[in-house]
Amino acid sequence: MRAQMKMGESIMILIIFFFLLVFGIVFYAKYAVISAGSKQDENKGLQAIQLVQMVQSLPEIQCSVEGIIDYNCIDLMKVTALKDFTPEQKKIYSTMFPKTIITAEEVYPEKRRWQIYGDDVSGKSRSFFPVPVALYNATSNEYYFGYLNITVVS
Amino acid sequence: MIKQKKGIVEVQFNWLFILIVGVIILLFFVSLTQWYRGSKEKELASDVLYKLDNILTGAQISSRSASQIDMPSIGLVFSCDPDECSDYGCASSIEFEGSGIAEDTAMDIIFSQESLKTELLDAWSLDWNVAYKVTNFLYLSTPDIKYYLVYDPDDTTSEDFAKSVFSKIGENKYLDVKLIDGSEVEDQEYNGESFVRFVLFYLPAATDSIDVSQSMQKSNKWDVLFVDGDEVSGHVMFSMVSGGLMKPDETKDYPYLGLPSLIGAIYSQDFDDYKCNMRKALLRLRAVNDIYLERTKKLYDYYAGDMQCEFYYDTETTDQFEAIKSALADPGNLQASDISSIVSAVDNIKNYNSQANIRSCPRIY
Repeated sequence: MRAQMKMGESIMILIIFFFLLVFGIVFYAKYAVISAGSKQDENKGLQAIQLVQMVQSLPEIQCSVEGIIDYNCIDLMKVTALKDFTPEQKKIYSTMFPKTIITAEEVYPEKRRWQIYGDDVSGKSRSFFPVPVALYNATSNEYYFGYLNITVVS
Repeated sequence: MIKQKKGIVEVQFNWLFILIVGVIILLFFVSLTQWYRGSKEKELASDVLYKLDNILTGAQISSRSASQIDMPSIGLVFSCDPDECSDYGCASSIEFEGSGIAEDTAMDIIFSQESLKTELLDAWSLDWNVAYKVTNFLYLSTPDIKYYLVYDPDDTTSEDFAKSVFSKIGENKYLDVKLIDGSEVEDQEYNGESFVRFVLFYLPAATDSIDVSQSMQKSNKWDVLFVDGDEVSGHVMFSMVSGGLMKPDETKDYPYLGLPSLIGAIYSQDFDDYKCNMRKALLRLRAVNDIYLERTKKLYDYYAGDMQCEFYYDTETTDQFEAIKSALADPGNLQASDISSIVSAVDNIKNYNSQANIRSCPRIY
């Protein structure tokens, strides 16, 4: 009888010990999941910024003088050329910029807009990044003020 | 007597109980440790992935930057299959050894050894221009990889070419690279490097062998890359061992276009790795070339009838872009003749571009 009581006591201690341990682990796991989630959100945001930087530095739209790149400047003639690409020619960008919509927008002196890439993207949430740029018109050798708008769909 | 027997059973049962509970507790903690270790490894791999992603983006944005990056000692395995390329890129990835985590690099042009395990990663990028800028190349290496640029002492063309590549590659101050002449190859001892590459700027006679020091021979961690061409274009041949001698493998021959692509071959693990990354680069060249072709057509439409500028954008010029386009029709089977047509078309484009600039007409590129 005494031995049985001793045994029951030991089992109870073990149950309480395991209960506290499991409670601690569940608590830690929940905390880890939440912090991983917020880190994932942070990474998503950073990835979107990286994507914006990559779009900005595309030789296909950047202004250049004999191969030397003029940063923060978009060549409008290249933009219209890229806009007119066939879906076959645009395939390459689907790997580089998945679920991305790129448009160029002139705000001064005129108001104009060019849809460069990605017009049929569907997704849950959209992050919009307008980047102020100079828009270069090669024929008149003039610069206009505008935005390179990049929408990342996730 | 009965009481004594009962006591013995009680003691035995206690030990049995302790044993079972002990095993359960031990198993519990072992599995907990395993789970924790696994999750920490994944976290580490994800951190490295993020770092690497930054490097890749940085390389695509700005060129000519060499940097040494602290890395947790986790193995990076680069794979790129030249036979698995489409208009979307190539089957290519960076995997974190043993973690199962991989980063897709279908359109990222990264020249490196197949496997890098290091705490210091050397990263360098160069822009690839074919008259106009096409893209940036990223080169990855480790401090324990050594490169020897070897020239033929009896051939000044070979010497000048090797010196010019040495000067360019020397811009990466972290790279362990040495310029030597052919007679000095066998004096180079193996000093525990993870890999040694001899880059020969001449093709040895069929009967000649590449003699290296005994320590190098024993290490079995070296190979030879044969370069035939100049700074503008040429072709590289990776080596094979035949009859105990290191010789150029004619089946592993692929062209290069410009110094950045030749440097890409020097950094590459093997023929497949180089060819695969060049295929990605050629996909980008095709896209950028198409942009300039369309741009030139638009300039022609705008200046049609303008006696001062029309000439620079007419079919004489667009035919050059078309020539580049047709040379790139089958990048998996790129020949020296295709590279020659590209070089010739690029020279013509450069000429029309400078003429247009002189006449105050918009530049072609």
